[in-house]
Amino acid sequence: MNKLALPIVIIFAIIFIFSTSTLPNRADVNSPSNLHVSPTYIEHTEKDIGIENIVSAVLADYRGYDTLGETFVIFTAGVAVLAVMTRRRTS
Amino acid sequence: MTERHESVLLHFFVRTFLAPFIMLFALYVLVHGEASPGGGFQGGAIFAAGVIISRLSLGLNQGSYSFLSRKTLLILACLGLGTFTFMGIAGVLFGGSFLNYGVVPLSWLDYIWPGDLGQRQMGIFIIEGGIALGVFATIILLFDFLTFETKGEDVP
Repeated sequence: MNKLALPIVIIFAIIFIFSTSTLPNRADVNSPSNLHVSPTYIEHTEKDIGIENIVSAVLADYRGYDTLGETFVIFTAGVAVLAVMTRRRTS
Repeated sequence: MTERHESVLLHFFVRTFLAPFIMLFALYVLVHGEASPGGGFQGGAIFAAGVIISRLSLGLNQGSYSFLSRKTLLILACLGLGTFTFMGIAGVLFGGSFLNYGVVPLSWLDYIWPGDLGQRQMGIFIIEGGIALGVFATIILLFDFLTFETKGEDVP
């Protein structure tokens, strides 16, 4: 099984490295996300939300569900540690 | 059982000079998050760092943690998460969609805390506070439980 692991990892590494060559470059102005996603948020944040920080606007308002889920994840992690580490008298 | 020597000077320095400024910076990151990088997660984490550094200077002596007990921390975490969730539900109650803060009538808060914030900005500010409270309480809860030395008694 261990002899099989290294070729599998190498094959997947080759696939991933090859697939990254087809991605758009960093800060490419002609990449799809820079053509319509970013300009939409930059134009609409000021009159939709009314705050200067676009990141905060996306985080708290446009993607509110996501942030709510993240907060639930952190809270669940805390409760899970509490449930595991709490010791009760069993006898 | 090894004897722990508590450094009074270290604790005094941390409690007097280090922790207050960390907490003040956390509040700045939280409150100024609408105009500069920052927000609920970051502010809550930095505030928790301020509390944790003063707890570390006590030398993991759990008997000295009277500032925030575990029950209080759990209540605070639930309160922060509940603030966020109820702000989301309030959007439904006032005729909008879930997590739509623009329809919640909160502009009367401007009389308490003067500023040029509208309803939607006030809603964002409140949920950022809720996130900060939840993250802050959860991080300290994790720290308390993971550094707890069991001596056979019940917790919390």
